[in-house]
Amino acid sequence: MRVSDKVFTSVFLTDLMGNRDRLLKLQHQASTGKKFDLPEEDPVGSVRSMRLNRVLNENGQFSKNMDEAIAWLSATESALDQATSIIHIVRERVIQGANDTLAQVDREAIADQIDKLREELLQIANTSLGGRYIFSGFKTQSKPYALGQASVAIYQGDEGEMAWEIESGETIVVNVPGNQVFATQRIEYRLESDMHSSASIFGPGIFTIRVGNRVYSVDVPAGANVSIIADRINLRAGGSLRAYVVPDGIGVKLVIQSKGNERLSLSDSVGTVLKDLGMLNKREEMVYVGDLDIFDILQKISEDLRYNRSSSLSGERLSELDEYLDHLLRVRARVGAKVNRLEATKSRFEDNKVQLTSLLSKIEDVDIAEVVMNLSNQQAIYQSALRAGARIIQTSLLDFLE
Amino acid sequence: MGDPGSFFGIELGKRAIFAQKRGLEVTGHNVSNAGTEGYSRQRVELTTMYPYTDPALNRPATPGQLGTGVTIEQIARLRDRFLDLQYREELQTWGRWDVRSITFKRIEEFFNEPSDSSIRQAFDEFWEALQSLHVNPEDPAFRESVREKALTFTRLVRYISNQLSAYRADLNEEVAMKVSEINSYIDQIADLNRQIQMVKGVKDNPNDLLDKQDLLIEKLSKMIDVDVFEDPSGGVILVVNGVDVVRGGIRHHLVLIPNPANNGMYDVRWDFEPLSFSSNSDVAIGYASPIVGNTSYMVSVVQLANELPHMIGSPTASVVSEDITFYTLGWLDRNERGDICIRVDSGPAVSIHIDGEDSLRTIMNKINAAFYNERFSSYPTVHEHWLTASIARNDAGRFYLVLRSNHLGEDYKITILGDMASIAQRLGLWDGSSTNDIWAPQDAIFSVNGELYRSWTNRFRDAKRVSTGEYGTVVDGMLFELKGLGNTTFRPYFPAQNGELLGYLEARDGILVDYLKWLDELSYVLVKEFNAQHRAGYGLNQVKNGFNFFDEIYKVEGASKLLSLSSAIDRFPELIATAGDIDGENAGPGDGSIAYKLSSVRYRRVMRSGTVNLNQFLEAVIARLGVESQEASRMSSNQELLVKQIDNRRQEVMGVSLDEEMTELIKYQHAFSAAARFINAMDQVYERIVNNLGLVGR
Repeated sequence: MRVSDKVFTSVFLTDLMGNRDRLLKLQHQASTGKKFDLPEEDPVGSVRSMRLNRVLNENGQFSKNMDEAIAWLSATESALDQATSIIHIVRERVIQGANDTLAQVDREAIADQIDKLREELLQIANTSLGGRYIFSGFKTQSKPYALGQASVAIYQGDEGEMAWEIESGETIVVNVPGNQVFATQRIEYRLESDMHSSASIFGPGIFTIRVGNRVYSVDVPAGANVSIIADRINLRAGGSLRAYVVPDGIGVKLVIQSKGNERLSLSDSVGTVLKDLGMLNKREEMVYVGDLDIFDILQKISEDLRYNRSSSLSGERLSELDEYLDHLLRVRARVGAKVNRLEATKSRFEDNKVQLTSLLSKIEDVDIAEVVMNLSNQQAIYQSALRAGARIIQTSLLDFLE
Repeated sequence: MGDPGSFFGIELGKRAIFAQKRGLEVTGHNVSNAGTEGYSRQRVELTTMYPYTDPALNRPATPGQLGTGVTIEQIARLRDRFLDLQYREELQTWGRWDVRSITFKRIEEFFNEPSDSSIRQAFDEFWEALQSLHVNPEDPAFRESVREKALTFTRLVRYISNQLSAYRADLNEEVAMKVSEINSYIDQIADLNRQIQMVKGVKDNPNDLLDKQDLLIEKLSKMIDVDVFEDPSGGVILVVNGVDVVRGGIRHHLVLIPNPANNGMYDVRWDFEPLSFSSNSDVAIGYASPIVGNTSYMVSVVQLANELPHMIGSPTASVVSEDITFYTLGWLDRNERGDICIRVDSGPAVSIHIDGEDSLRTIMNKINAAFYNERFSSYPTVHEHWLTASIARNDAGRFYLVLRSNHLGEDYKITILGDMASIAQRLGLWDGSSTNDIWAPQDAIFSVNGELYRSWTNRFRDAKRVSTGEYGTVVDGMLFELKGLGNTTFRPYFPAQNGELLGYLEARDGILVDYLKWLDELSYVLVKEFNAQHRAGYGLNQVKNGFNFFDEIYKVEGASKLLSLSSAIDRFPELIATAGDIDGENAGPGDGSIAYKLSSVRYRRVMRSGTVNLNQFLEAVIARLGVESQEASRMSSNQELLVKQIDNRRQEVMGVSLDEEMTELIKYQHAFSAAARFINAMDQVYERIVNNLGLVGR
């Protein structure tokens, strides 16, 4: 092959430029720590890097939202905590005040305390976090509770549920509207039997009634009619429920109704009394019985104390307080569960973040040790190319002619 | 015995001297031009001169034939024509891919991925700011943040769009320069043709002229795909895609024709056929990228679009009022109520429930709030299927309700499907059988090669094919702009099928147009979907919804240059919609549900006929950029390598090797010395003859 001078220089230059190009790239990698600058250098890597960056950004945002949600829910929890303490104190005072032997002036003193505690509770209801009222629903810029005529507590907020996104497509409701915390609807559960004649006979037998987590055993003698069965039930389980008879067309029905928001379940243990009555496999009905507003209750307690209605205090008021405490407990439990869920999610996000960041680094970042090694390798190649080229280019026949 | 002449010897010597001297001179010429671009080495071709004697009747009776010395047959030029051909072909391909590669690199610079200041980063930060807002809708600081991020993002999009357009203008200048260079080369080559023909006419080898011409042809080849043929009478014939550009005495030039549809940027044609793109520019104009090829299209315009969205309402409705907050329906009984059922195009039929207590403002709020609202049993999920409700004032100063479709064109008309208690009639929207139109949209109707289409704008690339009802590109790579009724012919023409000129035209009217188009599509869909959702929500403590977040855009083309935050939101960030609607009223300052929905717009599949979302679309564009750029880069460097390799092979034949020339030099030198020595010898002979012959005994 005939090699002209031009070819020598041309090939030498091309190879040299190639070397320098590779050197430049390695130097750039070493200085920036990144594998590629432009999408064209690694289209697939570019897209993956974009996606990962986006996910990391989103997760960062969700983490922030979670922090805010946890703050809100924690504030709610602590308010509920304080409210619970107050109700416990009130309960003690009520028991104290129901004592017949107390002097009226002492009762007045207790009534004053109750009024004070009511004010405290009102303040708790109007808790705000960073300028927003937590119990107002959507009306976060105005107080949930205000005092109206005759010191009646009026709810000014709404039923709004603030749903915050904490994960892609998943929201969590972070607030509880005031009228669902400081008041509740009272519901009772009831079960009805089939229609029977008032003279129908049932038994003998034993059946069990479960109310909430309490179990009662009711024995029915032979020859019992519906009314007798009702009496028996009231005898055995009267604390948790009541049984009564209602007329229904030409006959009567037996009704069992729980006191308070507890479900009922019935089963025959001996005999087939429930089966004959037609009370098995029936669905309970929810019956709305009235509202329970703690501010109302407290006002009524104060009045009862001042007018010395001790039976009302130890009867209705106490059971209302207990019911309300149950309700408050349930609300607290729900809020607490949300906080737990958020904290678990948050820690999952932290783990995710570490994994994603490391994956992103694998795609985007160079291994510095590898780059430095390649760089010194390439430098050696560059130098030897220069040396070889310099030798050959310079020599020609002219050097050897006389 | 015959004698070819007394001074035959000297003559022989003289010829030798001349020949060897010429050999030295040619070697010197080679050595001088060893580094000259395009130089092919020359060789003296020596041959024996015509021998003495001729076989004829009157030939001298001397033993023959006698050699008569050396003569120069020709000064030959050593060149491989086949390799030249290959070289030129690869140059053309390299020219085209080189331009493409540079173009893509520039586009990559504009998009600036991967980095923290890229468009995608700004996009993400905007959505995140909205995310933060939904958790803190009452806080002005978060509103400011949304506003800032929106300004940053929209500014960046406009900037990139303008950069891309400015680059198109730069490429246009390149096209003009290339055309001028091509024309100049054509002239030079044609001029050389004449000179070469004259030299060849007298049987000489125009070696250096041919070198010059070949070099010019190579330079031309990188720019345009020219085929080269040898003209038997000397010189070359240049043919570009079937067009004789240089033949004999004729030469043709490229001319630049400004195209009004392409911002006055140039179409390139030959000077013997300087036609404009459209035969009748009063009917329609257009431009196309080289992908279209050199075929004609018959375009017939039947109707122009009025580019209006459907708008209904009546200033003289029976239910106007001095006060939009006053209940206006004129019920006899405040307890009356009814539903109106509205639908846009083939979207869901939406039932709006109206009470006797509702004011005009509440009704407007309810209608706007129906967009993407799960509280409705049937609700619109894309902007094309809904409208904007607003309140206008008539000349007498009283207010009336106006509904305006979100999309231009006849397809997106508003229809009233159900009107209980004649509410829609009383509001002035409906006359009992049809809508009361303030604006009635009209589509453009046209045909291309006999196929009928409808379009809702007059300047477009895509339209709806009437026979199939499908919406798509009319002619791939072509833009249409309808001007008036009548017929015209579109005659796209591209002189080059390879080379830099093609590369520039492809880049200007193909590649950059594509990326601008995608940026436009992204901006357009973002504005439409985001605004539709935004109008459904209320700002902080606001009583009205229906505000746009971005300035409204109706056309896709140029959307990326118009993308901007509305001035109302810019000045009053409290207008950013965060709260939802309850029965025509603001749900409350703590409600961030609309802000949440707004931040979810990025996940809605609103791009590419409902298959991808905004984020995926942007990622796909950048991915494609990476792939296309990589391809162009690879092709360009491969071609460069190929061209160099072929050149090296050429140099084997035409390149000067100094070592070789030195050897030749020595050869001619010795031959010269020998010839000189021979002349000396003959000189002595003649001296002997002249001075000493015939002087016997003297």
